[in-house]
Amino acid sequence: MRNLSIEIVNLNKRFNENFALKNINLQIFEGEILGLLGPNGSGKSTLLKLILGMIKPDSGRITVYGYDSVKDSLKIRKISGYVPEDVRLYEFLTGIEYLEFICKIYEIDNTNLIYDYLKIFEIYDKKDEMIASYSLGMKRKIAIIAALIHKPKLLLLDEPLNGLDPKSARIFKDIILNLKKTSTIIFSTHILEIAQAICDKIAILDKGQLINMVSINEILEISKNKSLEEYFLKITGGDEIKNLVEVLLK
Amino acid sequence: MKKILLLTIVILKGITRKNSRKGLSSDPKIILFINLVIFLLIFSSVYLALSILKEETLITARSALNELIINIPFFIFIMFILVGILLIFETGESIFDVETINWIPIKPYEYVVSSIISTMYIYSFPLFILTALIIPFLIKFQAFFLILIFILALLSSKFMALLFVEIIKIFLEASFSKIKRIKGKYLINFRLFLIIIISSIFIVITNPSLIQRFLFNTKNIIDITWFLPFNWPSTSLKFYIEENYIGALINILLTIIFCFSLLVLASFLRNKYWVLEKPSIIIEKRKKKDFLNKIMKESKISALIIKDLKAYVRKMELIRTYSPILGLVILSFFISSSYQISLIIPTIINLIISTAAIGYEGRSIINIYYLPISYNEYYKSKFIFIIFISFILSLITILNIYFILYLNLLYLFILFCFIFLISLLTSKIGLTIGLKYPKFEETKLSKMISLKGAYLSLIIGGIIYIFTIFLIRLILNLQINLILFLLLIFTLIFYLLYIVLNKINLNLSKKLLEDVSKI
Repeated sequence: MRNLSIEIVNLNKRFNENFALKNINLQIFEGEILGLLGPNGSGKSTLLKLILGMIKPDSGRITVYGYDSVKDSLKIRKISGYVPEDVRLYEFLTGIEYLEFICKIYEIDNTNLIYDYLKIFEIYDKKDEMIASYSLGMKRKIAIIAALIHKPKLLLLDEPLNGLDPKSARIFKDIILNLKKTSTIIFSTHILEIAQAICDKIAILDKGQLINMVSINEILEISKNKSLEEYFLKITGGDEIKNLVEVLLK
Repeated sequence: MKKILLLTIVILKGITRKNSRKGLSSDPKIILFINLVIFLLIFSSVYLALSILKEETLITARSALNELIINIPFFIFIMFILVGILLIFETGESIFDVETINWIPIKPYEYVVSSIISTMYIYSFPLFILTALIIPFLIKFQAFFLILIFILALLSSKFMALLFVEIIKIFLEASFSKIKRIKGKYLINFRLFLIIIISSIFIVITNPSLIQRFLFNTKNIIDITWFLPFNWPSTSLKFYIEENYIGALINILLTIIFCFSLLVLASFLRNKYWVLEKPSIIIEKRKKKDFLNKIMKESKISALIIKDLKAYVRKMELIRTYSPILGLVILSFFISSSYQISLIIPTIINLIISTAAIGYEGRSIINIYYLPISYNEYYKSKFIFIIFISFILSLITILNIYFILYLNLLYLFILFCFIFLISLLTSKIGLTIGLKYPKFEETKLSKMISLKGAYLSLIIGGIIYIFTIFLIRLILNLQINLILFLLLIFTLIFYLLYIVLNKINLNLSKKLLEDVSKI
C-alpha cells in the first residue's frame, strides 16, 4: 500500500473578499504525479504556495509527509523543490553562483550535480554569465535545476514549461518521469498534452473549486476516448467559448 | 514632425512612469505645471524686489549680472553632461532600451530628437529657476533682445550637452556589444568607480558656494577657450553684451550649425548601431573558497551574507543609493579639514545601507519564502552583514579622523570603540526601519523602503549624526579616565538598546516572512 504524502482537508483561502480556494479536499500518494489544470486565476498557484507554507490558509489543514503546512513550513521546504510561475532569481549573481547559493541553503556539500544538470540543459557555457543577461527560458532552466538539486521528496512545479524550448521540455519530462520513483510531484500546467503524457492524476480547478480529480485513464473513459483537452473544455465551460470563437472568426 | 511628437510623448510617459508609479511626477503635464508655478512665483518675487531697489544698486547689479549670464550656459553644459552620463549608468542593464522600439517604423534621427527633447523636458527645472531669476533683471534693464539670446544660449547648451551624451551612449553600447563577453569584475569595478567619481564631481559643482565661485570666475576660461564649440553660446552672449553684434550673430549661427552637425552625427551613429547584441557579463568562478565560507560554520548564513555583499557592488539601485554620499566622503578626505563630515560615514551612510538591506531584494525576496530559510537565519544573516559593513565604515571614519586630528593611538582606539558602537546601533535601527517599511517594488529609482520609512530614517539619521558630533567633540575635550568611564556607561546603554532592538527586529523578521501574500 502506498503512503499518503499530501492531505488537504477543507481548505479555504480568501484574498480580500474573493475566494481563491474554496473547500478543497485532496489526497496525493507517494510516487504520484498530480497535474493541476484550470483556467487562469483558478487557484493553482495559490494551492502550491499553500502546500509549501508560503501562504497561510484561512481555514482547513494541509499535511505534507506528516508535517503541518503552517507550523512546520520550514521542514516542508527542506524536503521540497519549487519552481514558481514567475521566476525571480537573483539577477546580480551568475548562474553558477545562484546554484551554489541554493546548494549552501540546502546544506549540500557535493556540488558536482550542478554541472551535470547544466550540461543536460545545455547552459553550461553560460554558467559564468550574470542571470540578468539570461533569456526567460534560461532563467527557468536555472530555477528547475535549483528545485531538483537537493533531490526533493516533494516537487511543486508551477507552469514549469513556460519559455522552455521543445528539447529542454522533453529532457524535463524525462527527468520528471525518473523522479517519480522517489518523489511526489505536483505540476500545474496549461499544456494539456504534457499533463496527459506525464501525470497519473489530474485535478481540475475552476474559480477556486476542485471540480474533478481523476486518473488519466478514467478521464479517457468518461470522455469516451476523447482527448484531455476536450474533457477539460467540457467541464470548465470552454465549449461555449470555442463556439463563440468560431462565430467570431467566420 | 508628428512622429517625433508622438515618440517624445511615449518616451516621456515611459520615463516618468518608471521613475514614479503613483507619485505626482508620474504625469508629464504635472511636471510642466509645477515648473510653471515655481517660475511664476520666483519671477514675480524677483520683479517686485527689483522695484524696491535703488538705482545705484541696480547699476552695480548690472555688471555682476552681465558676468553671470555669460557663464550660465557653460555651467549648464557641464551640469547636463554629468547628469546625462549618470543617467546612462543609472539605467544600467537597460542601456539597450532602443531594443524596445526598434520594430516601430521610425527613423534614427526621429528617435534621437525625441529622446533628447524628452530628457530636456524632464530635467527642465533648473532652466525654469534660472530664467525666473535672471529675466526680471533683464526686463528692468530693458534688454529684451538679450532675453531671447539668453534663452537660446541656455537651450542650445543643454541640447548640445545631451547630444554629446547620446553620442557617448551609442559608443558605449557599440563597444560593449563588440566586446560581447565582458569580464564582469572589471566592468563592475569600473562602473562603481565611475559612478562614485561622477557623483562626487556632481556634488561639488552643485555646492552653492562653489557655483557662486564658478559663475563669477569662469569668464577668463571662456575667453581662453572661445574656439571650443560648447563655449559658443556663452561667447555669443559675451559679444552681444560687449555690443559686438556681428560676433554675437556669428556665434549664434556657429552654435546652430554645431548642434545640427551633432544631431546628424548622433543620427548616423544610431542608424549604424540600431540593433545591437546585448553583451554578456562574465564573472569567472574562483577555485578557492570564499573567505566567509572558511570562517563560518553555518553555510546557509554565509551564503546569504555573500549574496548581500555581491548585491551591494553589483546592483545598480544600491550603488546609486550610496555612491553620491560615499563620493562626497571620499572627496572630504582631500578637501576637508573638519572631522565632522567624516562622521556621516558611520551614521547616515550606515543607516542608508542598513535600511536598504531588506527592500533591495525586490521581487526576488520570493526565494527566501520558498527556500528552507528560517526568519531567525534570515535576520542573523542581515545582522552579520551589517556588522561587517559597520566595522569597515568605522575603520574608514577613524582613518579620516586620524589624518585630520593626528591623535595618539590610545585616543584613536577609544574613539574607534565609540564610533563602532554608534555605527552598530545605527545599523540595527536601520534594519528595524528596513524590516518594518520594506518596499519590494522594482523601479528605476530606488524604492527599497516606503515613503514613511524614508522620512523616519531621514529624521533618525539626522539625530544620530548630530548626537555623534556632540559626543566626539565632548570626548576630545575630556581626560582619558573620564573618557573610559563614559565608554563603559555607553557600552551598557548600547547593550540594553541592542537587546531591545534585537527582539523587535526578530519579531519584524518573523512577521515579514510569515506570508508571501503580504508583500
